[in-house]
Amino acid sequence: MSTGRPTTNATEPDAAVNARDEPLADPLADPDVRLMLEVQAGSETAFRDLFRRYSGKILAYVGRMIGHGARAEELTQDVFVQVFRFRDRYRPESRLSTWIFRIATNVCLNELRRPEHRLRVDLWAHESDPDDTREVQLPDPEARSPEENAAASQLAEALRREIAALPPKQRAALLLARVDGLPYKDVAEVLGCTEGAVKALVFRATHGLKERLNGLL
Amino acid sequence: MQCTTARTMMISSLDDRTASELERRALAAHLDACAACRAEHERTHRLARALAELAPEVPVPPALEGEVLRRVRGLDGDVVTWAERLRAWLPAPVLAAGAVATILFVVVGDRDPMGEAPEPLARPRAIETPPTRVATATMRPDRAAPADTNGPVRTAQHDGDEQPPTDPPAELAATLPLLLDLPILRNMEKLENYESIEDLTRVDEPTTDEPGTSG
Repeated sequence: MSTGRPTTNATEPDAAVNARDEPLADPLADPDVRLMLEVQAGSETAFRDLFRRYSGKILAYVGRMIGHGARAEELTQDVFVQVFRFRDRYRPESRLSTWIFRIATNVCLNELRRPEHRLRVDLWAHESDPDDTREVQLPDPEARSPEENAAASQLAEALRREIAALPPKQRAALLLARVDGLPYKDVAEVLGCTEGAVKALVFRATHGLKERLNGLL
Repeated sequence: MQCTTARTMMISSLDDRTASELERRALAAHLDACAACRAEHERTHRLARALAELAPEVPVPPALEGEVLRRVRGLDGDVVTWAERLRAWLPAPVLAAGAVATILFVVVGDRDPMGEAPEPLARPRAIETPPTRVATATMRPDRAAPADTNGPVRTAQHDGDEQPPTDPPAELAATLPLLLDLPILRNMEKLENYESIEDLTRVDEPTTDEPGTSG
């Protein structure tokens, strides 16, 4: 059964790229790969395009991993600075999105290991704004009754809180697979583990969320 | 199919990528028969829909792009050191574990920085013959042992009815060089002369009658 996520990335032209689970037959046919090759050649315009293409996703991902706010924006900057600094390390055999998410995940996991972040996480948990709809796009609220909208908002707020409480690797696997729609193979490459480990992480995260949100589901 | 198996498969079935057609059919058959699992299945899908409704991207503050470009332009010659490459690609715990392992290898790997580690001393077996007192007097050159130093070590005390052993037990003989080499034995002369040395070097302690020492 489908998760509801689109099966193709909006940034990838359907004709040139294989299905998401298939390896790239011709890497140069992928516009992201061509863009990255231009960045490797030193093109600032290409880097600017790359930033505009991925910054929204990375900021959303980083925000869900470590908490939204100024720190998430700082870390998002760090991610793209590292993308530029280590641009020569990118190989066209892997998807650009996988490579960038890998950098972002490492940045987030390092941040979560910092002692001061534990305090910041606690503060962030109390500072959550129920009216903050940055990360939740409810599909056409007018199509639902007010009660349904209220219930959906309450569930979304609780979901955000419980995702933040997941262990970091489970959180990363769940967000990459269920929210960002990466194939399990790519999630495994991002996290540096096997596909089987990714399935286990996603399963545990989903099961844990279901248990804690039982009253709201 | 058991309910526990079905509830595990409910999560797997969220992804077409993980559940096989056979598994989905088996799950569907169980849900037709089990009302409790049907309700659980509904909750699972409501969760999946809530996750799907999370926005994959968010609006980016306009200043963020400018700040990134400023930092990128300011990179000095774009020099990336090997340490920075390591930190970028290896999580901190891996680096920390590598550093600890390196330190342990250096410290523990070579226990004797002066050279080969000494061979462990062979534990002497139990001596079957009665222990004989090896007088230290026999070790010092000024109280020379019998001229034949290769001969048996004759002790001062022995039972007159029994002949003293002509040769020391092999185990004791093996340890003799060690006994001879003890630092305290090497410095025995110094200890014997200590009293004379002490007289020469002792500092006279002031008596309580001297001015300034009384309390």
